[in-house]
Amino acid sequence: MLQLLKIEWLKVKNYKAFWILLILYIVAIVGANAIAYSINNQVRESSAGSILPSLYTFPTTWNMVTFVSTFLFLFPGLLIINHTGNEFSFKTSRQNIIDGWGKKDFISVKLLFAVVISAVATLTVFLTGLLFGFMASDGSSEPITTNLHFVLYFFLQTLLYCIVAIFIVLWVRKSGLAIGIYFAYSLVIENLLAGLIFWVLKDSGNAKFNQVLPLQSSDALIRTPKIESLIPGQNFSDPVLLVLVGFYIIFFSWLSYRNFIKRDL
Amino acid sequence: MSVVLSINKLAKSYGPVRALNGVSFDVPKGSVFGILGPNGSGKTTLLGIVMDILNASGGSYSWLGQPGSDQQRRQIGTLLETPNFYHYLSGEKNLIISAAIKQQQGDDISQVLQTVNLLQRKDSKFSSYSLGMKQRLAIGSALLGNPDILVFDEPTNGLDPAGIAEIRELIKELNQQGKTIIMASHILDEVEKVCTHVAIIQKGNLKTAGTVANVLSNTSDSSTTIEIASDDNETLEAIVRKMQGVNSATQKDGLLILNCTELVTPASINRYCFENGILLNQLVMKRKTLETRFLEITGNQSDR
Repeated sequence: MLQLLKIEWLKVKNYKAFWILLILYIVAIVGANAIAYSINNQVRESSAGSILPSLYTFPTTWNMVTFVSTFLFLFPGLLIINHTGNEFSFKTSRQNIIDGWGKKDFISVKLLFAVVISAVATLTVFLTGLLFGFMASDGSSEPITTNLHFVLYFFLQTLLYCIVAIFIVLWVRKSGLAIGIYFAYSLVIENLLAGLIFWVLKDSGNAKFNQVLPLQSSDALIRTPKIESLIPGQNFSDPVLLVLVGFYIIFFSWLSYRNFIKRDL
Repeated sequence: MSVVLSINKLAKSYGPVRALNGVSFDVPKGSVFGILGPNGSGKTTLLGIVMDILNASGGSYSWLGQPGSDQQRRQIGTLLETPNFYHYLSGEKNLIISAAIKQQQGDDISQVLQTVNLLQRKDSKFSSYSLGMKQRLAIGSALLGNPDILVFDEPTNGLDPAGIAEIRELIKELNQQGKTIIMASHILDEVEKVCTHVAIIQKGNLKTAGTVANVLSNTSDSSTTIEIASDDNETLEAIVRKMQGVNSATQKDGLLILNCTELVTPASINRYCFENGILLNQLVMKRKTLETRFLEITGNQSDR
């Protein structure tokens, strides 16, 4: 496994586009939170809301930082699709096998790569949370470890998005088309489906079943800070959502694996 | 002689198209084995299957008596169809990746780059290489780790005449070192110049396989062609027509072209003419080339 990752590292080490995208992603995480942080402060200063604590104080900060960073989900998908799509456009997917990797090695390292990207994003979110948490807190707040589980949720959410991206690019084998499908599905199609399910089931009180959709299940893990927690029964409980997310991660990994093993290169 | 690659009734369908139709042959150790066929005849499909990037629809193959495995592919240097490298990496960095996948140390990378004349350009990006340089890098990559078996699919593709000659020399040299080389080509001349064995494939069907000499001689038409000329071709024709074993004689471009049975040899013609008072100033036995043999086997139309 380590040997496989080492070779993957050789592939990206000198790939400028990859690093630019990754750095943009990291900068965007910090930047988006900085914007949210300052808006939050402006709202508090300009209204009677100033008696309320900042959303960035511990322990709300973990919910807030992960919630804001979630909106940047296009970046990890783009990184993954670009990286794996290259293998098809350069036909190195063939060459790697010819040179002696098993197809299993190839797909395993792509999935591992998604774990690494998700881990890097999660670390960035963690550090961003610490930064803004300390900036907003006046020392009287709760211990920083409270609500830290949101960071784990963020990791799982990013990983699921990455694995869906891998599934799409292995399926269509073209970067451009894969990016189009990933954007269309994650931005529009699934939200439309979720809206439709909500509309159909809202009278029966089962509207939360729209969270059964793959990306919605992970989105639902990280709720809108302070608001959704006030309305009970609107969400599945965290354990249910975690099982769903875990299932989808394994399911899409397996689909990608099967697709790659069975098809001609 | 032991067998390096054994192919047994290999078949491959793309929907209704039969790209390979139960092809079987053995590649003996130490041979330069040419797989010859027109474009689209199934050569690359066949090599793709034995390199595990295409799934066969039927049949089997074995390398050195074992079914194909990752371990075995690492011991085989392969160039399949096109040079496949990371465009944004230099030639050298690409070879470092190839060596790592083959689980080699990569200590022969400079030497390999030297062999394919790319040492000077080792730090240039692959995307800046010319077609010929890309091809040479792919051949270099196949040479990593000094493998005993090499698979080259159209190795001289995109090379200039000097490059083509170099690669042919290289293949001969590798063969002299005892390596087995499997080479797909649609260039008859190339196969004839380089290969010891040949398999001819057309429309996914194996037409013939064996040593080049066997394939050439194994023909239903046992006649030979001999070209002669003298100062007076008219008289020559009249006399030679009477010789036993001469089927026909036609004058063309100052030569007399004889179609003879196999009983007639250049020596016997020379003696016959001399005894009849004619001195020949030209006498050439036209050897049957792989090209004529190939056209006999596959038909003249390039309908694949």
